[in-house]
Amino acid sequence: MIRASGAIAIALLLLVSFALYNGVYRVKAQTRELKDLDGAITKEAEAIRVLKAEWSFLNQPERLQDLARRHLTLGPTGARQIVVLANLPERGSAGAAPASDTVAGEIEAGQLPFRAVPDDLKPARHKVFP
Amino acid sequence: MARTRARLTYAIATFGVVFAILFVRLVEVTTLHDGVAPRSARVDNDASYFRADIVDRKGEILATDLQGASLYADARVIWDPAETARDLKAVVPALDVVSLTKKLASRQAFVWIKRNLSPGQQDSVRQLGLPGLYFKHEPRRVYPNGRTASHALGYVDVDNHGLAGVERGVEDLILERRNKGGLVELSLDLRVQHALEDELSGAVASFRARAAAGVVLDVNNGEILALSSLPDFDPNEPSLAARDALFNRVTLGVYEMGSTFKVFTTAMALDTSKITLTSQFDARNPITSGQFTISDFHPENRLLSVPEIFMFSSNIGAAKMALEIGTPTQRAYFGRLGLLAPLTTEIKESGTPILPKRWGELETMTLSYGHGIAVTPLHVAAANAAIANGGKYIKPTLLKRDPKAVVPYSRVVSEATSAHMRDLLRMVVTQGTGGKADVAGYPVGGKTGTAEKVSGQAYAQKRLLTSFVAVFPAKNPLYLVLIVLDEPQPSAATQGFATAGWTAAPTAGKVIARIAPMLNVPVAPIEPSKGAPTTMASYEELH
Repeated sequence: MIRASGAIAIALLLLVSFALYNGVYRVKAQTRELKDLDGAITKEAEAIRVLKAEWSFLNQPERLQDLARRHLTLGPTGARQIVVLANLPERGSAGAAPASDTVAGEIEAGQLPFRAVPDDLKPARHKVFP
Repeated sequence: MARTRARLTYAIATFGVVFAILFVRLVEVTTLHDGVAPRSARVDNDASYFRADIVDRKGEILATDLQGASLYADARVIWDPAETARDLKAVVPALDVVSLTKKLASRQAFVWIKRNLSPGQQDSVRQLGLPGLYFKHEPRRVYPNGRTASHALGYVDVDNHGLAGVERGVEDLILERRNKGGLVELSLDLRVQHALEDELSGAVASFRARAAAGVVLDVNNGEILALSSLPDFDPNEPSLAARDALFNRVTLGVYEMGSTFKVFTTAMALDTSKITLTSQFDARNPITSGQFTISDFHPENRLLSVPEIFMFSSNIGAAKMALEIGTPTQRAYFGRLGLLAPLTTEIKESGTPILPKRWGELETMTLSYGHGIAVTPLHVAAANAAIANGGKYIKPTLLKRDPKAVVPYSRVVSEATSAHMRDLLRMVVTQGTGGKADVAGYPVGGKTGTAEKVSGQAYAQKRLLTSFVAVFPAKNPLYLVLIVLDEPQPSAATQGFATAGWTAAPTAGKVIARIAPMLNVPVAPIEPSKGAPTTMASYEELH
């Protein structure tokens, strides 16, 4: 009886020590992996920050304005390019409302050039990029 | 005997239970660890970012922290201090060989050599392969937009402490939000800010002005959309900036603003009901008080009504209105308009108004047209916003407001007075001195101000400070633009004039033409003849 319980106790002891040992090693390995992953996350986060900063650096309004002036035929939006519904003439009253009151009317009457680019915003050189 | 047995059984059972608990806990702790480790690993990660990012109202990054390498040395390991110093000088030109040699010979375990090296420099130092040199990675503040909004943002020192602007003013908030990827959202709009800066620097160039200042304000909630002071600086390199460039002319500089103060004088006159729009004042003769003479820039030499005084910017008329209101009332209104105390915003660099030492009848008269009192441009912008927005004074802020939040305000003038003032401001643009500020589609209301700068004891006639305060759309203002130019010079293009109507007013008009479409301001019908919109009360109607 004592012998049997002793043997069981020793077997249990061995089993538990093995399990504990194994467990500790697995935990250590996982801790290392976690640390590596955390390091990698930090690095990636830093890289994202750098890229975000670079993105806003490249999107400086001053730089975009300069690029737009050089390469585009677009100018700033003016009030004449914006028409709200309330300002449109009523249907059938086209004759009564001054046609040139709207952009469409002005274009029709030849008062508004199709591509209105203010003189100071004319591109310095025309260059078409492929 | 039986009792001993029972006691033993109890003792064994108790110990058994305790050991069982210990065993279970042991297995649990060693194998099934409960998430303590990852948390401690994250803390280091967060601590390396010292300040939260600053973004504009649309989320564009205005300031961020990036990792920078700083070079230090363990002087005990350095072989040859002189040679090391020479080699480092070749890579980092900013170093001084003599003082560096001394530092490296000090035998101390830690000496800074250079903070925040560029990646290229860091690489070159590594290539030198010298012993005893080490890098420490530190957060470095980066402003990707360079000079844009530099005076609003401010700058930081080498240890990442805020020294000016928002960086200093809301440092607590910036430090509090640095973890968990927190942001500090400003009320600034980068696009509006750029438009303002672009037009201001254009004005400085074409009028050869010494300096300029500008503000764009949301009149209904006090948000500052743009704030610019020229000359400006690059917050990435504040040490390279001249002292003058670091000076914030919008919040710290105090100036005698001249006729823009007539807005306040007229508003208080109408608000007290002592004076109505039809009241007339004799502007035929200059007012003389002791050695002092008050005269008009464009003398009309006749009886002037209140709208005429305002439109033609008559000093004599304004002085007479102020006299009728009286000194105590003037003082009370100035106080309500916030003109008597420093205006504290998120920018701590705020100028204290310079008030007359003696505030008697003469001072009441000169103050009515903005002489004898010096305030910051932001004071004028906030007070004008109050006059135009229905009479509610709202403290300007650089932090984005929650659109649903109730904005605290204090009442300055009545709704009716404010409505009259909006009409008067519009008339200055349609018929008075501010004509060059008008923008097709966006009716502008505004007031010019041309002040002679004090030099020594007297006013210098050639050195002007011109300003234009504009609100748009005039009938129901959404935004305010204030432009201040320091010593603009007349040119052929301005027909020899350097007054506000020729310098500050057109600049304000250009700014409005650019920012109004961006801000989705409703467009008013445009007359084919490019004339003034018909929505305004005409001059005759007011009589």
